[in-house]
Amino acid sequence: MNTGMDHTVKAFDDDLSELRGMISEMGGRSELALDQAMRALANHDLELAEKVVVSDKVIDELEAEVEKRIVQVMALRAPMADDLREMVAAMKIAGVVERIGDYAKNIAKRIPLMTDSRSIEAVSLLVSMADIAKEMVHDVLDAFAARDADVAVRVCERDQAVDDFYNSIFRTLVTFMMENPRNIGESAHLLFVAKNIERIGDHATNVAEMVYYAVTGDRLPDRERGENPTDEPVG
Amino acid sequence: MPDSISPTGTPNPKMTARNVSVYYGDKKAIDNVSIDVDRDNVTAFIGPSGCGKSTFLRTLNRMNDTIPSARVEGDIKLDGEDIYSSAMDVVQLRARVGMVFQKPNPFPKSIYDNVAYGPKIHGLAEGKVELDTIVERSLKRAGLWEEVKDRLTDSGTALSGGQQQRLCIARAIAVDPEVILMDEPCSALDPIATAKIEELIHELRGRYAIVIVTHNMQQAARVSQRTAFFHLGNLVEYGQTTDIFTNPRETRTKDYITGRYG
Amino acid sequence: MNSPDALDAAVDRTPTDWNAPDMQARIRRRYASERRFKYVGLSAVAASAAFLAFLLIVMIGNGIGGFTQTRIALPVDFETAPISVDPDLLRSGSGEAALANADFQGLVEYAATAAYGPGANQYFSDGAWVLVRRQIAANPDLLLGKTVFDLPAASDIDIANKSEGSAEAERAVKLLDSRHALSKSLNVAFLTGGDATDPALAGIWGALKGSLLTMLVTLVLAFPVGVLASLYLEEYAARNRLTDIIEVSINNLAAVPSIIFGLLALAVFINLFGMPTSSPLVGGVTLALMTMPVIVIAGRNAIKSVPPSIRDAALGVGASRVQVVFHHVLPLALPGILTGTIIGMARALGETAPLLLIGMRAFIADPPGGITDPSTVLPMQIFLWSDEVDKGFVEKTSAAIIVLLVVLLSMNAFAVYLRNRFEKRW
Repeated sequence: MNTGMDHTVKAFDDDLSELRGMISEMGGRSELALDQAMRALANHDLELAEKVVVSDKVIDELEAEVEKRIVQVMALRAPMADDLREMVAAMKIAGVVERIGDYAKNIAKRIPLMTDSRSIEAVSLLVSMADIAKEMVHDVLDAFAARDADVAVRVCERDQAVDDFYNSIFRTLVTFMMENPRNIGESAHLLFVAKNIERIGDHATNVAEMVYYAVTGDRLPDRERGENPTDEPVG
Repeated sequence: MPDSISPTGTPNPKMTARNVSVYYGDKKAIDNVSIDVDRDNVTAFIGPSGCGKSTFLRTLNRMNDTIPSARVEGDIKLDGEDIYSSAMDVVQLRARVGMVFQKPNPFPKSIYDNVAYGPKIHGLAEGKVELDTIVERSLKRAGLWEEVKDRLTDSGTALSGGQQQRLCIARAIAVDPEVILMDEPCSALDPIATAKIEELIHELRGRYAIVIVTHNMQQAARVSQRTAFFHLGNLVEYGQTTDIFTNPRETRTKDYITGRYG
Repeated sequence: MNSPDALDAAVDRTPTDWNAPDMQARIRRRYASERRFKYVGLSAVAASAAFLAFLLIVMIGNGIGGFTQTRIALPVDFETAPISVDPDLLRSGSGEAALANADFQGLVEYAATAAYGPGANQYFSDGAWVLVRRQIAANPDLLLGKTVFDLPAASDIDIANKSEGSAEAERAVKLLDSRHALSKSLNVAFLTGGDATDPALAGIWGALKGSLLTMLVTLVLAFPVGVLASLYLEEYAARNRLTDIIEVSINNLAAVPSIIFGLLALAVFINLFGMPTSSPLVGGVTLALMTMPVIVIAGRNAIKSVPPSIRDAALGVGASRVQVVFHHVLPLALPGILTGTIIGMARALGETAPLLLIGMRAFIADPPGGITDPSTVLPMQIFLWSDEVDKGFVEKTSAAIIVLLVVLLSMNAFAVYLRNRFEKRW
């Protein structure tokens, strides 16, 4: 897509690369937050969980900063074509990445409410699920930085795996709750964690669609989009 | 993919150009351009300086005839009539395909005479009353009537640049053309005057087929529905303005409109 | 693309010291050279103004006397005068023969001797008796008594009266003055008469009219031809070798010495076509040949300076080439064309050499009645008078120069007026 040619106005290129850098930073921080939240969950590390909650503020501030810069670039540089699409995508991606950070924060906030749940089998499943979601976030932001539509498409395809994990965890936890009603509170928290991770996967897919649009100028064809997760009816 | 229009696929074109090449002496200024001009839309020609967009515009009403070394090959038709055929009278053609130029160029005559000149030489008005009507209607359509109605006998050159350009548009409208060609009509104007001209173009759309050449891509984006990108005498891309500016298909177009040209 | 090193070097450059002594010296030199240029230009203007003022002052000083004339009162008593014309015969309208036969010259001589002593008839202009006869023809009743005629003085008396003359003439002036017989009046004969051998009677009108008729012929021929030629060359002619040759030829034609046009006119118009010699017609045609290239060159420049945007504008609303030319280009170029034309005409007005060859140097006493009558022109008249031995013609020559200059200045003033009147801004 990018012909590798620089803009005649070099400052425009500087603005763009700075923006990409900020988005990458947001992505890195969200990934880290998710990773730390999952480790805190797995190890019932309340200190780490607290750290995740606090660090989410940085992501929020970055998002505000990115938005401000995008508005400035639009006003001053009047971007066109792929530049314009990239600006619009960056604006939306920043919002989505901020949401991902929020989900990580949500997970971390639940940890103090739970007893040590390491014994529950579903937790290890959750960690694996979160790993996939994290990779999706990582890859899709790489795709944005590299303006690579193919990578974005592959990220979308992986959303199915996250959804499968979710369905599996859902069934496991429901079974677990039915086995012992005393586990219901614990399991409900874990279910919400699973739901949060599943949402992160969806958001990664959304970002992938935006990357695809920014790079190609076209909407991602429907068949390549991740299926909407369906909460299977209990029973 | 965006809804693409082929350069020559307009269902009911006002003007059609097929395999048009223009030479200045031995130099080829336009190379094999085929394009349709839609009758209900504003078509913008964009491209870097020297890309041939103005040259091509001037072939559409044979203004290039005045340059002795210019030579045009290919077919250009106005409603199916070949405008370069011997049956086409060039004077009538230029009345049917009017032109507005880069620099406002009112005649050094009164405002009234500027507008009345075309109808007079073509005998479009019978008597003073009808001529008055044409002048008033043209000035109204050009959005200039309210500003000049009390001083129609003042010299056209005494108006401000933007008013002069609108006077030139009124002068072109006065002969009731079918197509209006505009060659960078705002390049000498300030942003407010430019905005007024753009609004005027918007209002004239549909009544006349309008072709505008502009250096200002934002302007092309604002006023046109179709955009053609010329580069080195070639028509690189022609499409819906929204597509050209959000999702050009050709790399050269993209590099030009995103400011990477060159 | 600047390499980082180059950028650093630029940053490291020592800042320019704008107050350094050599910098200040450079500024002073610059101002000094500007002042020098201004003064040189000013002195050039002053020198040319001084030349012009010198010319005008000398000419006016010498020539202003030519417009006035000294007149001497001559009392005549027809009771005793040696002349017998019957006033009744004159009144009946059939006295022309009688007048022609009467000796008015003798009458003037007799009356002058009677009034101012012997030889006093020399005080009067040689043609004074003609005026007496004319007055009597107009009013026969003068014959019935004593009359005082106011007659032009001879040129030496005229000179002595206006300035310093010969001792003899000064004595005569003193004598006449003591009798209160001298008066000065506007020299009507000079402004209305033709050439004459007697400076007291010589007039400029013949030459002026000849000049005006010649100019008229020149204008009528050269202006339309010149304007049409320049329009064609600028607006229609293709740019090729032929037009280049035509352009060079026209430029050369404008530079051809005027005497050659005179030879051409003599050979072609007079010898071949048999046009009347010395006539304003031939003179005008000759001068038109000279003036036309000037008009073509001025016209082409004026047409070139009409902005192409006006042509585009007219073509853009569907005007034909002819309409573009006559509705827009010509009106806008007209002030320039007219200025060029008048400059060319002014040059033609002062032209002498070619007219020598077509016979306009002949002595012609009667103002021409039409363009085919023999005539002379102002510069030729000046040339002829400056050759005369009679001292009275010196003053006439300068007076004729003043007339020529006045005509030229009014033509130039007219050119300026036309330019201001028709010039339009775009």
